Amino acid sequence: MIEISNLSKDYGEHKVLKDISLHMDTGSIYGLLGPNGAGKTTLISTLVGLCSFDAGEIHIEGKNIKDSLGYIQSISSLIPQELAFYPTLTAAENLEYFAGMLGLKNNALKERIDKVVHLTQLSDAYTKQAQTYSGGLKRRLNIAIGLLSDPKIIYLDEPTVGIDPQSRNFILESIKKMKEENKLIVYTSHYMNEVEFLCDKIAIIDNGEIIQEGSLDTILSDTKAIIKTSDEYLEVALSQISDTLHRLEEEGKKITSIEYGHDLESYFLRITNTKLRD
Amino acid sequence: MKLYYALKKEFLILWRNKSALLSLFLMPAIFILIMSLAQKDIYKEYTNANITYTIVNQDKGQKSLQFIDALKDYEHLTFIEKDSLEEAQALTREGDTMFTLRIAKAFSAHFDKKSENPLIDIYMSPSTKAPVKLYFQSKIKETMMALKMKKILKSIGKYDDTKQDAKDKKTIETHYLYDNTHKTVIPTATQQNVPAWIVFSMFFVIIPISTLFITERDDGTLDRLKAMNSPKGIFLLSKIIPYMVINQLQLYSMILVGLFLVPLLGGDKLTMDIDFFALFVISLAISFAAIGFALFLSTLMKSIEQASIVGALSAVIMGAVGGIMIPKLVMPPLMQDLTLLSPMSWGLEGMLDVFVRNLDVSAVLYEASVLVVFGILMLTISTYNFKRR
Repeated sequence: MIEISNLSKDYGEHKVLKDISLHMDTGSIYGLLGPNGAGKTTLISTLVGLCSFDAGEIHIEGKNIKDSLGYIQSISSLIPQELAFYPTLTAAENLEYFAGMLGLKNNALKERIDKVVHLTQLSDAYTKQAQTYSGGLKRRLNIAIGLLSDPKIIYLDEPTVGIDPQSRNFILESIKKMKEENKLIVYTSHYMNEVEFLCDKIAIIDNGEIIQEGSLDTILSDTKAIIKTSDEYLEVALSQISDTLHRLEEEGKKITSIEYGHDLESYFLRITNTKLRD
Repeated sequence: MKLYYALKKEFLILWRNKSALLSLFLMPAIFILIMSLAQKDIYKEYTNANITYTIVNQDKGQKSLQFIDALKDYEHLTFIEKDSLEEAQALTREGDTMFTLRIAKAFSAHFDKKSENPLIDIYMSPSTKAPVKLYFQSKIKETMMALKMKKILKSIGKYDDTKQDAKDKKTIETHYLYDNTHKTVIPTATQQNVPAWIVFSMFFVIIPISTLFITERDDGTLDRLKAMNSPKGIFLLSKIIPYMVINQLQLYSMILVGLFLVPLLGGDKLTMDIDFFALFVISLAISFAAIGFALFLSTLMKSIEQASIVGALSAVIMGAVGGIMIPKLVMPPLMQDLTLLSPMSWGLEGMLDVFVRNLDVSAVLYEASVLVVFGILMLTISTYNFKRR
């Protein structure tokens, strides 16, 4: 559904996307992971036509983004990390405005609003000003607006930031249901357990480069063990563990720890380094 | 339909922004009230103004008595007599009288001769307004000249007391020149202040426009709309049309203030014998320039706080330079030229054409055109800045 080939983008001297190639399928949830400033939001912005790019190609549903941006935008929806609606308007007024901007009117507009209100369970707060909502309710309104166009591709940029566990669980379950409707969901989050729970395939991006891509199972079974001695840090294939331990013993080195098999978070930290990113 | 939803959203947001509405409607109403009442006497006809003063007659001769008698003819110049100069000066100093007029001891003796010392001294507060001072001085000179003339005419046997006094009562009448001579607009403080503060308040849309625009930009709403392929023209119109309506509401609200509230508090009533079509044209042009400038600032500012401060400050500076706070006619020539840099100055000139000079639409077309060109320029730069993001 989305085919990205050798995509690059520069901001002057600074390369924000470096030769990125990815493939995303319909009916799946694709996780984009990376530290702050890695290039995730730029990549999503490029895919919805908010950012231009300097080299490479993007094809969505077989159409080149440069030639068919209008069509691609009509089947895509960006649900940004920010609460992108009007806090002094009610949910009803916000939804009516954004539906109107999509070109919906009369019965089509009402039906679509009813559907997203039902999906996101907004009916209790429907006529209250959005600024009075809890964090979870605001996030749900943010998502509801993104679903108004009944998009084939949904870009969800950290949709669960700052909300309670119940709302998070509700949102995650809703996203799973969207996938069942044969949509492609591109999901970014800093919560690795969410990514593990939701995503079929992930790409880890750092400094504008894809440093790992594949299905979650493949990535997590990337089975290298980490052996630490008092003065050494070794990454070795599982098949080599026995030989390495034998060699270290002969050299008289004291083994302080052996790690193998890891969760996504430790894997993510290992390959993106633990240095702080701001 | 898209425009309908965009306008509805914009009106709802503005309606719920009570502080913006207060600054758009209450602030100019207060300015009109304060300025119209405070400046009432500046624009008032001084022939009708009530000027009180004290005379200290140190001469007591026949000429000085005739002079004082002649001063009684000015019904709006009322005086009291005091013997002590210090006492009279104290009254003026404390504001009980506007002037102290000292008639020197040598007045009668030197009335029609050359004198080394002044025959009359006028004392006044340093805060006395220049027009009032000039008016009072001219009346004193006029009285002196009349007395001298009377003496000359009498000496050659050409003066008839009974006829001349009656004829001299009113020899000069002042008339204002209007384009439409059947109309009668009186240039009172209200007539000057209502258009001035209307122009000023119309530019205050800078604050709500820029605040909402920056919020939309920073919270991702603009990106969301752009990603939805929402037409930019609709977005632009949704910013222009509501604030043009707001500006029209401001205009007519301030006119109501001038018509009813100012006279209720003792000020002059606004005269509305004006060309309404000319008013409509110039007010739309001012609106367009103000909204264009607001969008221009919105695309430059980094935060709401910055936009609020710079927006308010730029409106005040444009108002000061543009002759809103200080009338252009009292500015030195260089400053008068500088006023042309402020769009408020063009707006004010157009409004004064309508409210004070009582001209029709043809007179405001030039100012309106300048404002529209300014607005187009601002919108073009804003669009460029917005696309460049």
